[in-house]
Amino acid sequence: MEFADWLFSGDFNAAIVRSLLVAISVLLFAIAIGLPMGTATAIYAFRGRRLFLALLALPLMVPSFLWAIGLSQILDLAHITLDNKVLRGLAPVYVFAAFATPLAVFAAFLATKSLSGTQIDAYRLAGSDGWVFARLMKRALPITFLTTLLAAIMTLSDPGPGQIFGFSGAASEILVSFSALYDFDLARRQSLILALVAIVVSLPFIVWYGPRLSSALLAKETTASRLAHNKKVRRFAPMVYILMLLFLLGMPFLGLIKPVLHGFALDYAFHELIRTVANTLFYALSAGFIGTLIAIGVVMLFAGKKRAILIITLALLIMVVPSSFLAVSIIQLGSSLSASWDWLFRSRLIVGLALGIHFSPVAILLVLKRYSAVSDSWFDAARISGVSMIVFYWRIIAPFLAPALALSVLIISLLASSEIGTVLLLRPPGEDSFPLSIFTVMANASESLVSTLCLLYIGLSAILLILFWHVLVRKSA
Amino acid sequence: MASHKMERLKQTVKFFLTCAISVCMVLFGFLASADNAPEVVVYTSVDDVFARPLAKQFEKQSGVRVRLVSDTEETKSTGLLNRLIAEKKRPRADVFWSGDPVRAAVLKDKGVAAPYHSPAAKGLPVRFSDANGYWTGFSARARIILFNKNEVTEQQRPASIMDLLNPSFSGKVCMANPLFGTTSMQAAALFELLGDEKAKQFFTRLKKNKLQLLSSNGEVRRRVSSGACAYGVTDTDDAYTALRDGKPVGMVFPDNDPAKSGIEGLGVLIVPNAAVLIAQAPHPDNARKFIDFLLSPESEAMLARGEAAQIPLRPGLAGPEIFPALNKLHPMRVDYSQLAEKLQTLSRGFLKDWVADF
Repeated sequence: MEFADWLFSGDFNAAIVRSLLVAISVLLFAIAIGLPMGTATAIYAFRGRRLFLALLALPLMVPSFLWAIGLSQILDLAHITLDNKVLRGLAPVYVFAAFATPLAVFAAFLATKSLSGTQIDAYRLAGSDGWVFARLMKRALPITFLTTLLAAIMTLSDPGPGQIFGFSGAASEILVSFSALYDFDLARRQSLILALVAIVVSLPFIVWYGPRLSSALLAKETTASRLAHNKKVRRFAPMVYILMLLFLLGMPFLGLIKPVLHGFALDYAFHELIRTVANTLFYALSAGFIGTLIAIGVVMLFAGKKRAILIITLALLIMVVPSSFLAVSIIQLGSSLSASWDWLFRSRLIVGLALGIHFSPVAILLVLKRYSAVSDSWFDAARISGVSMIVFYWRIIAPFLAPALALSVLIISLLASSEIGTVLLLRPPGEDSFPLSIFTVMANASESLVSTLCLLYIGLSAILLILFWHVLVRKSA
Repeated sequence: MASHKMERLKQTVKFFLTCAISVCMVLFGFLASADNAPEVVVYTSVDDVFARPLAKQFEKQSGVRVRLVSDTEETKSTGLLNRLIAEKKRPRADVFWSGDPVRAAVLKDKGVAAPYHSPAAKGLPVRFSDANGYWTGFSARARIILFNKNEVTEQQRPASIMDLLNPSFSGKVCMANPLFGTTSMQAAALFELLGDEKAKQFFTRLKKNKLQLLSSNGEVRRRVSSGACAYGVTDTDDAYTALRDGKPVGMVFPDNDPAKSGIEGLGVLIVPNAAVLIAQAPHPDNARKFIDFLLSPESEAMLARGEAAQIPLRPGLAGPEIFPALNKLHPMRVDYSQLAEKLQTLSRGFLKDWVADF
């Protein structure tokens, strides 16, 4: 059989290869765009820098199926049919890239920002602007690569865009086993195979970049770097951001706007918002806190240069398991326990717990990166001075880790706020989230109602992000 | 050195545990709320916009609070059926209100459903319900062919599902993935009525005629409405939504006229809702009350009048104006309980390969 025939066959192994091709494309695209953009944003001043960064976080808050629907509507308007198997694979790449690229930008931005002012000044003294930029990108590459790798791994277990565009990847095959055949055992086996393949493919990169994650980030001096002024960057960076935002968000957004030209359904949308806003915030924030706590535990118990590979491998394993699969396992466990466990397994907390576990790898990377910068000499100094470890952790380590912990809570909350599968399966009766309320009406409600709900969600997310960014910047200033 | 490391580890664990317990206590405090009002927990695969008004009406009439858990077939979530199966040992749901009888039959097969012969089912045709009372059918949708009026002339309208194989329809037809939802039910029904060989030929020829395979019936509605597809195989509620939104679409009930049908006696596939009592339901009395309410003529009338535009199964009840009454339709003669079994076999074999090869 020809490779092309096999690749597009119904074989599960072929589906894994198709999914890997999509994931690799997303990874390469996101790094190629995100690494230079994130690094430049961290070291250069240009107009609208904070606003662009805030807007770029929007795809993290919006479920992937919303972008897929928007893109699908735009393709319809343009009378473009995805009648080619390669095109059907490219559409999910586009939707996933809208999610992975911002993560790459933020990772590069934070990695560069974590370098001290002295380090960056030293680079500036040693070479030209271009040379400095290249060196800083190289320094930011390990964390950017690993973060984007996590995003790419997540695409393996997300069947949404593939289903909408008719792309049959490994996640779709697992979904069929799960939803059409109700065969949990088959779905389990397929998930295990997918996880193993993902680990085998990722392992060389983990081995290469894992130890560098620690060694590259040993900045002990915390003088903040200052923003540099560069005419070219000042002129072109806003244009690049605008093009990027238009490319990644503009097209699907237009697809959502078209139906509301016939009328808004604001009454219903606000009613749904009020009904679900408390749960949405609770699920998101509890996931953020729990995911971060898990990360603290994992990193502190296993930290050390040699164990970085182990930790990152563990993170990837958690990430590649489909969230709904974890949710069903939790339901089965909860049902087999006595009612005295219902306060946990049948409450809203379980939603946060499941989401926290699912997204904890992102927190693990962030906390690992920060914790790697803690010097053993700090512990020695505390011991010699007779300071108890609790006081030492509370007064020294906790404040040192605080920025990474806050960021971790924020990012996991953003990711969790848009998750559907887990909330759908684990929410207590009547305790919907806002994205879920969109999900449950979008099949048969009018297009204008669905689009009003989607736009309200996107608009509120954007306002929250801008406000948060503004407060954060003012506080740090 | 080793003791130093051990001490550091112990302190780390203590710190972590302190943080974890503090946060858990705060969260537990937030969650601690008791509500002893009478209630019924209803899981439904019917869209929230259709199910919620009925739930509100039941609350008004009975004083029993309905805790609704909705799902949708759009984007093929892993869904409530999996949740019900996973919760089988100690269920949370009292009632499953299914949008189609196949999912209800799956619950019966998995031992999740309990028999209940509701007195309110009087007047409902028995052929749309399980003979042993594990699920009871009421208000229905039907499988139709939706077409775009700007793309299709009067002469080009199909009369039978078999017309879609005509070369003049090449590249113009779309359909949802037959592994999921009501499309899967229609596929199983065709296999049941035509026999395996003829049904396989039908699907193979459909593919050769450049069928566009889409993710859901909602997507079929959107594509036909925009003209990207001239014809789409979907449900009556999708047709109603498109017409309500002012889209230039029309619909055909395929094989309704035996004289024009491609296969004599094939008929229209009727997709009734199904009410299922969950075995070991936590609130069994309220569950029976809710099922009685769902099966009542008033509920059928509400579902016909409202956005759901469902066709009542009871003779004599007024249905949505845009659809013919059930007695004007020539329904497919299928055993809904057997369709679930057939579908399980097809989903593992022919249909899975057929979809993968697209």
